Amino acid sequence: MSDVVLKVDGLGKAFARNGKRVAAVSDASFSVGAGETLGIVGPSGSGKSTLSRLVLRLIEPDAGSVRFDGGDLLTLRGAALRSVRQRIQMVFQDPLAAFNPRAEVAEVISDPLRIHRLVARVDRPAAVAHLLDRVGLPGVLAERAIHEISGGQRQRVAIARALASQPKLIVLDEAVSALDVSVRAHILRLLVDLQAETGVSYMFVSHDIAVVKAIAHRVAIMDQGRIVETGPTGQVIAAPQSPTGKALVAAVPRLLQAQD
Amino acid sequence: MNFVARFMRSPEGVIGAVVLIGLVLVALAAPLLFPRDPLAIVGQPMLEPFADWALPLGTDRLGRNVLAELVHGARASLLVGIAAALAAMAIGASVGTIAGFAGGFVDEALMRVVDAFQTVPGFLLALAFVSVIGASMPIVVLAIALGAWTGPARLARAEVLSIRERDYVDWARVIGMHPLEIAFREILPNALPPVLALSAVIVAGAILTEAALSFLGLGDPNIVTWGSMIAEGRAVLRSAPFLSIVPGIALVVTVLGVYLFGEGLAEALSRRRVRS
Amino acid sequence: MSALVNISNLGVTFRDGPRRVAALSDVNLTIEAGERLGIIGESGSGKSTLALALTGLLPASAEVSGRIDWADGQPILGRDIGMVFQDPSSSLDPVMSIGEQVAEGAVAHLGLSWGAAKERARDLLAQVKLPDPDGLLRAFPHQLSGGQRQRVAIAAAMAAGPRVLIADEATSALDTIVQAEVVSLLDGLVKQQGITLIFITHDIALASQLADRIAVFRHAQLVEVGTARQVVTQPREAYTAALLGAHLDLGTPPLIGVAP
Repeated sequence: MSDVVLKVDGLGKAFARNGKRVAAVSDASFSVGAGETLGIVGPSGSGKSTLSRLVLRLIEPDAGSVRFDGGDLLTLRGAALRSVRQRIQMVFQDPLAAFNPRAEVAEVISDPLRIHRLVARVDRPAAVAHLLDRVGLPGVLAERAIHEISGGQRQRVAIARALASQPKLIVLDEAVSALDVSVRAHILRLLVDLQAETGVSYMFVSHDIAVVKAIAHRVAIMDQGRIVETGPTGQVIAAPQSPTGKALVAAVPRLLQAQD
Repeated sequence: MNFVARFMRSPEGVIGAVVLIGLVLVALAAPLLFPRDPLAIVGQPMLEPFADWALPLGTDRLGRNVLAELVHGARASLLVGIAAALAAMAIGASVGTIAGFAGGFVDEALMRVVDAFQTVPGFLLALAFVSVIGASMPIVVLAIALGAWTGPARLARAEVLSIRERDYVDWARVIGMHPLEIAFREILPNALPPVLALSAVIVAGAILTEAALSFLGLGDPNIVTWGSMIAEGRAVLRSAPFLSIVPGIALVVTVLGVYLFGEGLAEALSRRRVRS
Repeated sequence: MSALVNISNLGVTFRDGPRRVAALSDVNLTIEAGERLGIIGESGSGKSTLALALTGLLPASAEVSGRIDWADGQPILGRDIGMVFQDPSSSLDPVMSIGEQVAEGAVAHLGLSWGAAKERARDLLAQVKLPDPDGLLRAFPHQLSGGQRQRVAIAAAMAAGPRVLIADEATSALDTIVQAEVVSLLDGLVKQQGITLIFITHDIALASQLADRIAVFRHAQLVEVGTARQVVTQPREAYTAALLGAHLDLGTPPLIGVAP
């Protein structure tokens, strides 16, 4: 495999619940290579969302290490951390909740360009138009408010915002789960195309192994805070080793076939 | 649909707005309608209302024009009410926002101060403040604000705490936004609407507190207020009840108007929240 | 099979500011007694409006045209029709015990005493395969997982022995493993008790596994209706074919090439 963008070792996080400490993630280790998509699959409550929030430093881990793009992500503070954030981005499940309800399309896409001083103010409208075009949206959308556009368009705007600072890794947390099936197919295709163009890596979190199969090179299966199985996607799905892996594969709804 | 259109859909709000606009116009026009000092003596004392059309609401114990006093009193009541509410909201929203953002020790300390203010009745606080420092317009405003800022503070803090957990605030962190920008651009504008909806209740309370202070003789003595008019009339309550009733009605109408307006405001704001 | 309900020329419009928006227009559909009907559609297709129209839960602002003729007279929601919604945490009362919520329907519609109704509630909780039904009677919704709450919601919907069960996206908030369990539970319950099931979902594969017939909705209109096999293997309409094309399961070829 080529360069490793993200390397996570022994990551752990426990939350206090009813006075007890409950492990949400324990001893998680995995890596994501350049231009690679790692699928993280598990039932609800398996800790996959907590894992993505840990990698993004939205919550602080209790144990373990996260190396990103050659540096230690966990020791960074303040301005140094904010500056690294240019290279690691995310896309949320609910594209409406992910944006400030007052925001406009142009504003949210140019935020990263402004914050990391990537594009001068006068050039930002052109940069926004270019980013919109890359995610398959017309430039006129720039002036619209986020609440005025459709759910599928919102998720494209979210991807444009995540791409704006040319990150090396994008964490997608159930990023297609709230979308209609036809929109979902388009967004997945878009993600694959963008990866081919830019070589960005994805950490793609989902409860649906069928979606992960469409997009991920490798897959890690989580259950009860632990990674119970990892491997190349096709191999894991064809012959899952863990009980959770088997259950996830068996639970995928299959279309009725003519010969059924 | 814009905010005005949403507001117009609530009948309470429209009635309140009409009452308030009328009052504000009267208050603004007071020097034009009654250019003379409202405290000047213009006729025989204790003239009944509607007896003389030059003095439609009659005169008080000293022969002053009741209508002129009433119109000038509207200025004082509205001015004090609105100024005190603005001060209370500004103090409250800032304290609540800082407490909500900072969390930890800062939050604890600020909220204990809020607790301390809340355990003392607001009117008592204003009374003590004015009687120690002395009665003038700015002091009365400040005194009333001191008793009213805790509500906005608690509300702003609660809003900030809930908004802090939203996805879009997380994303602002993920794109590397500075904490101060997150606080003032992402959180504060979204935390304000419910605090603003509280403004009507505070204005109405402030107007009543001001009237009560004046009634007790702790208002600014150089200004006519409805409270001081009621106090004046109290001495002759049996022989000339209208001297207390007229400013009393003005007070009721104003407070009612403010409440109805606030009702419409809250409804229009909540409609937008549902939509977004 | 005899007709349970005849829907003819049904139209429903809602007010959106000054405009009226059609949520359903000119829908003609006969639902047979005892069948399992899958209602498929993307967001905004009108599929949920149909459920509201059938149960008489449409808001007062909705304008209805056309007819809904029930063979045995207008059914009463809760007694003749049970309803299960997408989000069990908002359809269950957080401060009422599980036992009371399940027993409520039996008290209100079957005239049982609270004691007898609690007995029935315990049997129902056992039927929906929840562990320790006795203990659950005294538990509260927040103590259960999402999947368990949805089983409670199903038990509550079944309390008065309805003839019809309407499940509106009842499994879409669940992960795939729990979804498969809840679907097999619904399947067993309606088969065993001869209940008509109206299963509303955006997932055509899920519907094809469970339903005898499938009705496809789009933009407020009924696009096509047929046996599940016919709709899935020989769709008559291009839109149905597109939905099937966008469907992802483990048989779908991946969008990505070989690992980099």
